[in-house]
Amino acid sequence: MMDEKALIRQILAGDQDAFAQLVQTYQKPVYNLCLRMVSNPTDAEDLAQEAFVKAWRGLRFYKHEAAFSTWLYRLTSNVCIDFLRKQKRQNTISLTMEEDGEQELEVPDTGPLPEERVLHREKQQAVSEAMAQLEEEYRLALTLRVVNELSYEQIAEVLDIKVGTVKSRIARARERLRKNLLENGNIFGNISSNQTERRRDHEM
Amino acid sequence: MKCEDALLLISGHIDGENTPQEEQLLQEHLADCEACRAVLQAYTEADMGIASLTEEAPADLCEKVMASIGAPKKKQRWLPVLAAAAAVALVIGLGSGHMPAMQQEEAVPMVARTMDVEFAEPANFFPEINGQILSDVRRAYVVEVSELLPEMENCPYEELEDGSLLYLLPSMEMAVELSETYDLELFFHQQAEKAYALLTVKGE
Repeated sequence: MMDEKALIRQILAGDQDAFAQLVQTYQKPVYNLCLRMVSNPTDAEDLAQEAFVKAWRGLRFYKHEAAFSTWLYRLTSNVCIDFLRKQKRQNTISLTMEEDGEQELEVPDTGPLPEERVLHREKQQAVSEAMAQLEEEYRLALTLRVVNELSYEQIAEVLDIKVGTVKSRIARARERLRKNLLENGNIFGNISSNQTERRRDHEM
Repeated sequence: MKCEDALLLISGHIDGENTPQEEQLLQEHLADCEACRAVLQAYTEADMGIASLTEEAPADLCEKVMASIGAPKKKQRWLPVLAAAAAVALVIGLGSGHMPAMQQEEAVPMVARTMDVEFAEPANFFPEINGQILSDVRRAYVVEVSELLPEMENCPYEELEDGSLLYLLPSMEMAVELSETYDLELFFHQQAEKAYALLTVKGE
């Protein structure tokens, strides 16, 4: 692939093929960021698409101050957060009609699996559920770190917060995730004693 | 070091974001604290669990994105129609909140001078389009222009819900003459043989 700056110049001049190249480069991390934020492949694809369309329209506002990827992740994060807020408003309405507010979480089913893969799948499902239970801001920070593999400094730029805040937010996210997994009766972190557990409940 | 202080450093350790001092403190604590070693193990496993959820982007994502930003062949079809664009002009203030009259008076003559358009009273016009285009900009003007400009030929555009074509003209090509302060977007109505330019204030 050619230099990203040159590619962006071409896109700004109207070159759609150049934009397709950019989409190819970033579709996997963008899609996976959306997928972790909404836990549903259909919505995730819609949101990833929306993010790229917004990137196309808004590219002229990108000023090369931050890396393009940072700009794109910020845009994607905003698209996801907007979606989740809208969904929350709708859920408030629909919950008055039906009691079942639980969200269907989908991990793609690829047919019968050998036993250790079944265990693996169960673990995946458990992590996916525990992630979905996290507050948005924790989920977002942890996803940018673990899925998108951004440094604290890059995450600070994406979220427009201080690096120190990123560090504590990710630490809190991990701790809450661990608690979610424990509360859901999961195998992760099962050695941890109840004593430390109770003490940490006060701190975090 | 207390266990609750260790959590931040355990998380930082996993991400390789601790200072050497923090790292040393953590290692000393971990040597004495089984519970925190278990936490480190749990965090690490959970991270691997999250990372294992990563999937390939849907095969049709790029195609969908490219389809929604407008396929090149459509452009060929519309350009002859647009070349015959009529010469009526319209100025509309859009965006979040009402635009002060002062700003309109500042911006409009620039457009008029460069593109030789007339302008009329602010009006509510294509409200459904307004919402769609302007999701990313705070203030904008819509100006109807009298003819298809040669600079637009290779510019990206998108087809709006009502069949209008919104052209995005990067400032380097179009707005140079207007001012460094503005970006210009032009869109065309499919049947009405009119052309509209959307002038957005750059950077916001």
